[in-house]
Amino acid sequence: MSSVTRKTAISRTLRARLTLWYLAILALTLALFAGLLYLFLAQSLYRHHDEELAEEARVLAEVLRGAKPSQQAVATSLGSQNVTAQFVMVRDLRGDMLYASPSLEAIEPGIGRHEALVHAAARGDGAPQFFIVQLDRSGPARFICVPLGQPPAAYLQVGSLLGDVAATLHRVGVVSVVLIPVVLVLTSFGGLFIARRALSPIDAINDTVTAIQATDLARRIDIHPADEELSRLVRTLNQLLDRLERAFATLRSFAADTSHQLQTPLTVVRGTLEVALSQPREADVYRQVLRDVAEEVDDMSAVIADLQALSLADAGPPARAKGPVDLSETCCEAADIIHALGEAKHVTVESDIAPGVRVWGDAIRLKQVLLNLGDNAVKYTPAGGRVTIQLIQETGQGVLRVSDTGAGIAGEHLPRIFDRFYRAHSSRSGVGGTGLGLAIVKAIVDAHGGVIAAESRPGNGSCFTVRLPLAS
Amino acid sequence: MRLLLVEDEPKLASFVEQGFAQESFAVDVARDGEEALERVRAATYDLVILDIVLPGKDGFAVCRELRGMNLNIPVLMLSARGMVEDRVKGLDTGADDYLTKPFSFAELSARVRALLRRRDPVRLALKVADLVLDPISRIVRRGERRIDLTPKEFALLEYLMRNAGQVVTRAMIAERVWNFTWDRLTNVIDVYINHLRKKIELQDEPRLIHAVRGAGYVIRDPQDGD
Repeated sequence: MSSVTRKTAISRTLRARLTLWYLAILALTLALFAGLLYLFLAQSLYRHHDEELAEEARVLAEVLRGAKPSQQAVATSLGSQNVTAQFVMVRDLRGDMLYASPSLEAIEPGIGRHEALVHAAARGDGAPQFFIVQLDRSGPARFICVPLGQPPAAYLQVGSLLGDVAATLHRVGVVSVVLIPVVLVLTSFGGLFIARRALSPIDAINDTVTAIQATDLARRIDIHPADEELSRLVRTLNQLLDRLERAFATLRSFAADTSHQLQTPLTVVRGTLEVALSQPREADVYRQVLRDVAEEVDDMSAVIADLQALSLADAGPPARAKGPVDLSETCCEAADIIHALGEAKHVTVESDIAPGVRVWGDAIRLKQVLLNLGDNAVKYTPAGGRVTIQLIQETGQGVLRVSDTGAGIAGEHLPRIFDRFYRAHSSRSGVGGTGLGLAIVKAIVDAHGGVIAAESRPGNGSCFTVRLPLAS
Repeated sequence: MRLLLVEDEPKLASFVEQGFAQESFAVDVARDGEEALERVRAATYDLVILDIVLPGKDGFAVCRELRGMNLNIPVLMLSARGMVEDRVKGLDTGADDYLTKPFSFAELSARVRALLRRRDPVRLALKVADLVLDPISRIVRRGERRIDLTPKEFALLEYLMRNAGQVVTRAMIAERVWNFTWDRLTNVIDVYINHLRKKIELQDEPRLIHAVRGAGYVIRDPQDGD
């Protein structure tokens, strides 16, 4: 990936997304915090203010009790009081000014007709009300409007400027609005840095894996991140490489083996035909040559058919996914066939099959397992010998055993008998076969999540044991 | 009898054509699916041998179209792929039989003959000389003598008798009686044929089941001559 495309894809990189999410959450948290702080601060500041206003209004209302609602009367009643509030007014029920504290008109000329104050008096509330009024000259002021008499005959309005409180709240607001973006910008750099650091092993892993080619599958990722998640990723990738390397190695040797297996009979065919054609011969000779060639062709067909069976067992979805199989029934069918094969060779075939053994898998391929094992056993057991097929159920497993009284397998061959094209007996021993039968068996057993083992002592026969997990 | 062979590989087409010509069949060869359908529309064939891998339209598609034309010609499919799935798909698209390459000409010929033969209604009792098999009651008699057979032996005899007078190959028997293919089954079939012979051909009785060298087996009424 070039650096240009890397930049255009920045919004799609994990670290950019992580940072963006981080910032979004932080911004939301900070905004919420600032908002709540502002609200609580305003509330507590106003409460303090309101308490003073209410106390002053209470004293004034006491003084005005019983006084006639006229400018003169009010002025017389209030004149003696020591009032600290800047604004004191008495309004009638229509909102018209009955009294205003001295010098009020000078400080705030339009206050008599101020809409909010007129409205507060004209509304006719029976209880005191607090509100904020934006005065033309003096700025914001907090007012209390108290009814005089019950029912109200007039309203006392006492107010004081919010000066300090408003300025404090304003500052808090400005600081929040300015500081939050600054904090966010600073943190975004920090966030990006942290994300880059945390994800840098991924880039390293990526570069290493990219560099590994089919030709150097032996290489591994040699990075040891401190984080558990990333070291697990490295382990998983290395295990994948292990499997890939093994699969490639198997494939390579298999391809070589396959071509060798087909080259030999092809050479025989070609040679036989060339020799036959080199000079005129009797019709009988030609017939014999053609029969020999047909035999070689049959051998090659058998190899190809087995290769196909093997690739079927190797590839495709796990055989276990197919469904439950009555292994007992499958074994009975296969045992009948092995029995007939034994009969043709005068080998006794005995079977002892427990009923109701069920496993997950593919019935056709599982039958192939027993057929190949049974066929082998019959093949390598001389006339008069005995082959035993046994199926039992053991702690969560179906156990299939095929044993014979044949020549057995020498110790040095035993570990390799499941290898593809491996033959313990030389091809001149008269026993045919492609050398793939046991490899097919192993591939099928593997695909079913089972295990296969072989035991043998030369002269004492062999025993193959297949264990398959039961279908629960 | 006239066969249509749909096969794009000239050498394969040539040996099949030659083989059937020797058996006095008329064989036309079509090189691809379109040509095959044209020929089927223009002329009457008794059977179509259809390769699956063809240039353009493949064998499955040709078979589906043939069946769509409401023609009841038997179709035998040829394929290099021996996978069970292909076989099932072939038979599902309306093919009557399916043969995997490589095959021997004897195998192909036996299958073609079996397809050409008109089939007996399934329920009818089968009879070859004095041997009678009743598929419903599952009773087998030779003359007055009743013969006890195992289920596999019965299935094998029934298959032979349904194709009485026709050679059936071991591969055909494996597919129809054992329901799967495995090269070692040929030996198994020979053993079962032996069992059958011992039971239905006592020493003084005329032989009914004959082995045909390089091909398979046939059950035949001795009166019908060779």
